[in-house]
Amino acid sequence: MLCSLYTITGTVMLFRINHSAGQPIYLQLMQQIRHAIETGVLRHGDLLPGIRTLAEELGVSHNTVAKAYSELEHAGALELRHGSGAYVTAKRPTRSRTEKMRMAQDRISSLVAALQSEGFSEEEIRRLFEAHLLHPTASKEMV
Amino acid sequence: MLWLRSWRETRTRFWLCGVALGGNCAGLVFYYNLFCRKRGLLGGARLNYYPEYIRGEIFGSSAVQSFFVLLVVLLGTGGLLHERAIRTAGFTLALPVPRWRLFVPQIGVGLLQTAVLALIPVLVIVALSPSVGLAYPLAHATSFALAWSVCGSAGFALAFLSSAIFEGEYVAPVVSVIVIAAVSYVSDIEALKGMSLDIQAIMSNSGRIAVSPWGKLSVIAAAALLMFWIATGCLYRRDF
Amino acid sequence: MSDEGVIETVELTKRFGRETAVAALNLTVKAHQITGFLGRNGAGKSTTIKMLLGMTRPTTGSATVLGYRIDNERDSCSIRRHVAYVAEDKPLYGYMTVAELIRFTRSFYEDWRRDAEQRLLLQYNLPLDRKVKALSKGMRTKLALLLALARRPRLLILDEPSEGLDPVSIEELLQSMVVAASEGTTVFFSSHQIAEVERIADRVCIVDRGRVVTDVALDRLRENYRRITAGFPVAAPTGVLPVLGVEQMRVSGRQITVLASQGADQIAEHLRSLGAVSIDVEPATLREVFLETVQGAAGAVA
Repeated sequence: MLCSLYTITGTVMLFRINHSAGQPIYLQLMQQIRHAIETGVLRHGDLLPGIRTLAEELGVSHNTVAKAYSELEHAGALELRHGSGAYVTAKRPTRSRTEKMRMAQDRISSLVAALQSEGFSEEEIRRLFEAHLLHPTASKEMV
Repeated sequence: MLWLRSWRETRTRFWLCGVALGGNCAGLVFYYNLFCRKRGLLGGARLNYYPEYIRGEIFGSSAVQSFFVLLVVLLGTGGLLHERAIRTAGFTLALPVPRWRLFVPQIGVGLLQTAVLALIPVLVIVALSPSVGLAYPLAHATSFALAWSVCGSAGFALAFLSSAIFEGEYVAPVVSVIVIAAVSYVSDIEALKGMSLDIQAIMSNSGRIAVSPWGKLSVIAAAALLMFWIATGCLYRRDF
Repeated sequence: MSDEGVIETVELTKRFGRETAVAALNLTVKAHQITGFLGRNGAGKSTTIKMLLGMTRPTTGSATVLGYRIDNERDSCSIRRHVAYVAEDKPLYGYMTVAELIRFTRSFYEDWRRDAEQRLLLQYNLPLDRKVKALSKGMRTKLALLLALARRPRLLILDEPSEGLDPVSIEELLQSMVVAASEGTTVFFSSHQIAEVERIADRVCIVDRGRVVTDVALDRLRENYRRITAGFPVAAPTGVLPVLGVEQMRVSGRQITVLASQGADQIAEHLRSLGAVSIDVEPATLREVFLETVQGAAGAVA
């Protein structure tokens, strides 16, 4: 697990990269940037750190950051302006979307709290989520 | 830069050898007065005997000759195998120069140092003799210097060759010394006296004749070149 | 931009007497990437690197580095001119001072950068007047790294670079490697520290007993490699699984453990069809992939 704090034009972004999860790092970066855009942490027109800078800061290969940025550009979430950098081009999040995200977060918090009160550890809960998301068709029948 | 490095790596040894050899010779020059007093040599006899003394005690002395050859062998150790033993070979071999260019400075610096060492007895004697009221003919001295340079180079070549074959920090010089002792022993055997194996004689007699034994010196020089050639071939082919 | 690998070996082999250190190695390292070279001690990593740099001659096989052939004397020299190399034991001339050694090394390379040299001197806090033999192990390592990183080589080869470094210095080292890669240098490094490789490498190459056993992009590894554990009611069936993607398989009592490089779903299905009553699919970490492939090669049945 690697945490890195990065300040972009006044906004503070927290990246959490898991090198051992079953997910390429560039995907993790993409998701976290998307999440920041959807919850309004990153706003339209914000400038993301340069590829080299972010790679150096996070301690990952610049190819990884480059791929994340490039994929986000294809998805329309970023605009890579030659010479200036990567700008967020998010449609202004509709209230309902932001509302939905906040509600989803609330639901997850209460589910996690419920599981914890049943005696599941954080690690176990995380594993359950990850396994389900990674492999939705695997059945978990235990004898 | 590589030449400077070879100089750097051998300079302490070189200074020590130079001082040791120079001091030895200087001591023997100053000892002459005592020597004469012991044998009752005075005046003209004292003057006339001096060249013979020098030849006997320095140029022809097996002690001083051996000392000189030993010093040269000391200079000749080092090189890539030695570097492997002290763990710097990885750095040297990673430099962007062809491998043969790594040997040339080592050989070049070594030969120059050998020549200078061969000159030291000459310079010391010529410089200090007046202080005991004597003079030594320069012509004699220079032919000795030449003979000693060539023979010294052969000794250096031998040391260089054994450093190219034997690994480890100390094996190579020991082997060189053994080989030199063996050659010296073999050349003393009556049956082989005819052949020009007697390096010692060459180093001793030049001055007497005052004409260098060019033939014999050429053979020795050729032997030195052969040893260098074999050594560089070995090093070139080796895996590090 | 040609697609040729920065390093390409073809059946590269090195035998020492009866021992084979490198066995018909086929390795490709692509440009502008960070490639990690993993393997146990004695797996042939250092020998391979030495052959690439012309220090050791291969028994058979060939290789090119940056397009130059390793068996040609002049080419080999060109290789060393464009490659910065830090050996595992960080060899340096002990009798020189730090300043002298830098000056010595600098004179050989056209791609030396004074500004990087100054920056690294400050960052590593190296005393210019101290003799190299009087430096601590950590400082020696940093000096060796400086001599490599103060250049802009086309290829950077590092053999166990983080050995002997404290955690802070390791962070700085990894950052330097990332920066070098982003400036266009291809980075090829061998390491025992799987965590480091996992963090910065784009691609990983695992060798065992002189052979490449895995060569995969880390993204692909994270996306596709899975560890599947199947429990059976009675003794687990042995025999090869006829499903694509099975890299290693271990049978232990009533359990089969499979390392899959792809198609985890199909493998899980197949195991279920064989009678498995519990299936657990986990992402395989680089450590697990490494351990399974180098230990698995010794025997599939535990």
